[in-house]
Amino acid sequence: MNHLLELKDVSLNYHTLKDETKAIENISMYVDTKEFISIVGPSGCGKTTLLSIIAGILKPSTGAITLNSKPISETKNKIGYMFQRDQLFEWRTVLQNIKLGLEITHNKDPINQEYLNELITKYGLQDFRNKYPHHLSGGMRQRVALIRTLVLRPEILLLDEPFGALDYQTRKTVIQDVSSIITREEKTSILVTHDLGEAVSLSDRIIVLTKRPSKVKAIFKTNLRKIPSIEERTHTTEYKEIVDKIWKELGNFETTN
Amino acid sequence: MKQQINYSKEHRKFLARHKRKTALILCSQFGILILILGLWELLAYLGVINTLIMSSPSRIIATIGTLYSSGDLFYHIGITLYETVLGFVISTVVGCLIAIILWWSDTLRKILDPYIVVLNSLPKIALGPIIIIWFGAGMQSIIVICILITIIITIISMLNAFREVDQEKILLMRSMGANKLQILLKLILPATLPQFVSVLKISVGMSWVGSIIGEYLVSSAGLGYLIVYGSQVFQLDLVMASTLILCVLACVMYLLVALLEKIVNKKRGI
Repeated sequence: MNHLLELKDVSLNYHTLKDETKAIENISMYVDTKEFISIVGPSGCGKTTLLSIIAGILKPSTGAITLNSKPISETKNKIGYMFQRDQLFEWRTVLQNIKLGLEITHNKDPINQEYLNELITKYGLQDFRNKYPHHLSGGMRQRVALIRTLVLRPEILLLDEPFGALDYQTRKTVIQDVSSIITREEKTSILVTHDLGEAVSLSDRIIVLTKRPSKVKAIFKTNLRKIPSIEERTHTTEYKEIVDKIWKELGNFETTN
Repeated sequence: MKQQINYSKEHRKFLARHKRKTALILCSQFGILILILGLWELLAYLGVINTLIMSSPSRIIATIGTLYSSGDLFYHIGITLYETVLGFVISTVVGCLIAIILWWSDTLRKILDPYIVVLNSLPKIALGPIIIIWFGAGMQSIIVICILITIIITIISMLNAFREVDQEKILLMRSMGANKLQILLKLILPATLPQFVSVLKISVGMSWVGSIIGEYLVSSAGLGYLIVYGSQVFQLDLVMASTLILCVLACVMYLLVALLEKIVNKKRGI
């Protein structure tokens, strides 16, 4: 059976003049269509490095990554990125920011234009389309950042701690917002986070990595995505159990090393 | 934008106080100027100071009048302005191009790094004699000196600005499939526009330094020439008058760049 994204024995070594560090060692994992995967692990374990490899920006030392059974280097524009800071271009209006991807790919296809307009209307940005990013709230900015990546119809969304820079109140609403949009647009997503609660409440599967050099330590499955409200998900016993298990997994790790 | 709001008594008081303070500052600024000029003129008139060394406001104005009526005023202004503006424009354009090339090729940047460091730390004016021999005792040499003094700061500042653009933004563009030229045109250049305008503000001042020093070294016309000539024939009126004109011109050019900055910021909605 073919998965949407597959990593086979992926390793990455960092080279410095002093020595060679193994950042990632033999990671194998897969992601299926419409799945929401979280990657958690001790800080500095190479989660972001793993995302860069999946995005095709870093080349692994060994191993293979395939998207739709094709090597990742041959697939272009199939990956959408979202960062901790929204990285909107301050000199562009909301609409111009959202159009960035289409400008880069020179895609003037009317179908894409229509899709862009559809997304803008659907997610309540039509009143903001000519505003500059600094007129927007933190939550709204992240929404624009998400729509900007969605316009290119990525096969996979890579979310690199996209909620990390927000204050507590905003964070809750933005997590719900982003999660709803991803579910509604039926996007496959990989989230990197150090917040276990966030990982468990959002995901179908949570992949726990070990300390550097990182390997897959454990994988947990949840059925929480059936519940639309993220707030409600966090009140279930399933949520608490899984968070507990991952805690133990990570804690166990810290003491044995 | 006039707002018809009934302010509270307290707020009206605050506004009145603010207005009074602004007026006081402005009056004092003008007051100091008038006081100095007045005192200067008075002391010169009373013979307390020697006008041969110190000149006086009325003599400076008279000198400017003579220069104007003989037609020399705009001739000399024109020459210096031409050198300065040309030097400024060339060093900005070429400096930015070099900065772009160095941003583009990291290897080239590393290779040239020591040369830039040396050029930056070298007092460019030391090269004056060499430049005069190479480019001749004329306007070309002045413009080259002007460029030399201005361009290094443009290259270094712009290169730093380019390199400080958020790496995540570059990553974002690359994940969208952007090539290096697109990253340059759609991200690096627009993102560093504010720094560019700040660099303009600095380099416009440097250009004046360059052209005046160039004229000191080798020239037969221009404001710098008038200043040197005036001091050599002990005509302090001419020296002071030329300095005053220079002061005004440099201010105007700086204000034009500052205006450009305002327009740029406004266009960005900041």
